[in-house]
Amino acid sequence: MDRGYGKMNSKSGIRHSNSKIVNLRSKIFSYILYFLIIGFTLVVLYPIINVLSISLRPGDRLLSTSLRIIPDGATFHAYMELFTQTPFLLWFWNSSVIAATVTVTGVALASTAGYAFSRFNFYGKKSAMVGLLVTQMFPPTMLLLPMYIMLLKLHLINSYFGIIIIYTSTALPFCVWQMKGYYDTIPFSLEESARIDGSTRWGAFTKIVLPLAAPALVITALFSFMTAWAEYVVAAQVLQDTSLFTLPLGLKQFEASMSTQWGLYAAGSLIISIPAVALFLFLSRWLISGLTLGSVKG
Amino acid sequence: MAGVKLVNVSKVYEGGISAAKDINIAVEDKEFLVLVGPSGCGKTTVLRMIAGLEEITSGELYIGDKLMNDVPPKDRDIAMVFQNYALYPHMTVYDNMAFGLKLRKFTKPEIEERVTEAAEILGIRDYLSRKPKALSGGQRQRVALGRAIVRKPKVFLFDEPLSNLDAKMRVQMRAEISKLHRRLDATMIYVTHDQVEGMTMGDRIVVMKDGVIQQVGKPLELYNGPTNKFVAGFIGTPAMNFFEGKIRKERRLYFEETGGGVRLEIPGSYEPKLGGMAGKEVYLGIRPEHIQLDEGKKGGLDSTWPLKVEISEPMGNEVYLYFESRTSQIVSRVTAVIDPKPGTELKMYFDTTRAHFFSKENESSLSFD
Repeated sequence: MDRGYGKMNSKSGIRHSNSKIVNLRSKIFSYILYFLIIGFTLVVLYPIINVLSISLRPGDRLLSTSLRIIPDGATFHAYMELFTQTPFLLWFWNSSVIAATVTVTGVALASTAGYAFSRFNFYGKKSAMVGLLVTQMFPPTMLLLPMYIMLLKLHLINSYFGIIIIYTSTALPFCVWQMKGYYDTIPFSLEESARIDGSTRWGAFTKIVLPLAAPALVITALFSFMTAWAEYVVAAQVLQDTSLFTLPLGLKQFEASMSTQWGLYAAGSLIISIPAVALFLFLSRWLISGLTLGSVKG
Repeated sequence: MAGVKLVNVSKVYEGGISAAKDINIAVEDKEFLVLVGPSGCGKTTVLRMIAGLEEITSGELYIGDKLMNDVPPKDRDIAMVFQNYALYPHMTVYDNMAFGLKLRKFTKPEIEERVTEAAEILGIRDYLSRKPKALSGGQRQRVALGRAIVRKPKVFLFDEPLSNLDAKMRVQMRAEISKLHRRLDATMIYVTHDQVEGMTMGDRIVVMKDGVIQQVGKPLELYNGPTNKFVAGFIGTPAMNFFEGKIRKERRLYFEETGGGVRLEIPGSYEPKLGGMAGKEVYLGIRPEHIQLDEGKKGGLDSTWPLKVEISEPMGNEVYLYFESRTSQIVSRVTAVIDPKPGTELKMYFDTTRAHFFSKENESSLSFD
């Protein structure tokens, strides 16, 4: 009996020390992981913190020897000046209108075009898909000249409409591809079931497929929004009238060859990022996987 | 309720692939018709054409008296239960079942009454507020059934609804669907590759192969009177045994297996049909239960043959004995309580009064018209 217990004890002792080693390993691993995560977070956050610090500095000092985030004599002067003495709100409005239109158009077109590519067989389907992909292979600056000439001929230079067309057409190929890819994962039988239940094809699309494609729609919306919200190069060519300026063009106004208004520049930069962050946070709740779980036998 | 009629219905896909050829079926009102056949035989295509999910290449489809070829699925007044359930994952069980009723503008109290009634019948009342992902396979299939029955459609279509369930659940759901048919008194068309489902549930069975109907009939008609070798082999578990050989006429008719295998006397009742076939090559088909241990009092036919047991599978109430003949593997279903060792020679009696003969050329039955 005793020997038996002894065996059991020594066995459980080995098991115990083994589990200790495993625990220690996983602890060391998680320490390394956290160290790396914190390191990367700091690398990402540093420029933002720096910009915040610049925006709060009195005067227009870009460089400082202090490492303090909140500088000595911190002031909101730059923010007040931005809203009261510059056309910042007008630029904000312009950017909002353009980005919102591009987002809505992008979502509407990509969701329907992606559905067509996913569900229907038609002549030229493959070439069209490849064609869309090819457009993504050119650097955007290469397309500047032809786009400019096209808009010029259409008399759309210096108009919301012109820039919206360019942004939408730039964002669409990626969005169509990723919507198509997502629709491909939604079983056909769900729509067929809805059509037998009494839906039209459009009804099955809007009531069944679109709600299930929410994560892809969110990506499309964010991508379209970001294409338009912070874009500078195309806007600088198409929009010449200062009353139509978007935020990136406006910010550039604060930059001069002799004296750049770094305080305004930094304050504006931070405010520009707020809608993008807010939109991301708002939409991220739909960025979830497994929406179709339980619909069909997996 | 209504019957369904398919007149010369064919389906040809792009590239000329023919999935269904000249399908003629008349499903009676309130009938339970089972379409059965191996994978790729076109049975699901036929069902999908009835549902309106596949276009009909040629022919006519009637539900009731109305020509339905160009009527969209939503206006055909049918319900379909899919193999993979096809539940709407973002809706609760209640909403899944109410979806079709809402689209048809039923009032809220009506919807509630119908959904509750269907949930009661199917035993899913406690799950109405759950999402499909929180249900088991059997429960999901019940919801799919519920979604079909709440609408009280003219015709129910089932596309292999039980094939994703485990064996025990399949037997249970089989009985439930049969009960549902009696209770609803509705026309039902049921597609399956499992002939047992066809045999146990169908009023009539349609056997298909390569897009062509092989035979239509009541389950026992198909079992006892298959019109060709395919139907004979497809219906029944274990499948019918087939031997290749010739008819030989001596004083009586005999079947002789090719290569000097089994030699069996053919009863006189076959004389009118097989008498003129002497010397011709045929298939002899015999079901496993018609090959028994020779106990000496088997109707006086010279149809006993010694065979060596290869494998024996005791099932409890019966034993499956596997033998090898010259042209095929033979299985016999014996009710005796024996467990012979492999290699044991047993004298087996072939009840040729129950045998079937098929032409070697076109595999059609020589014993039934």
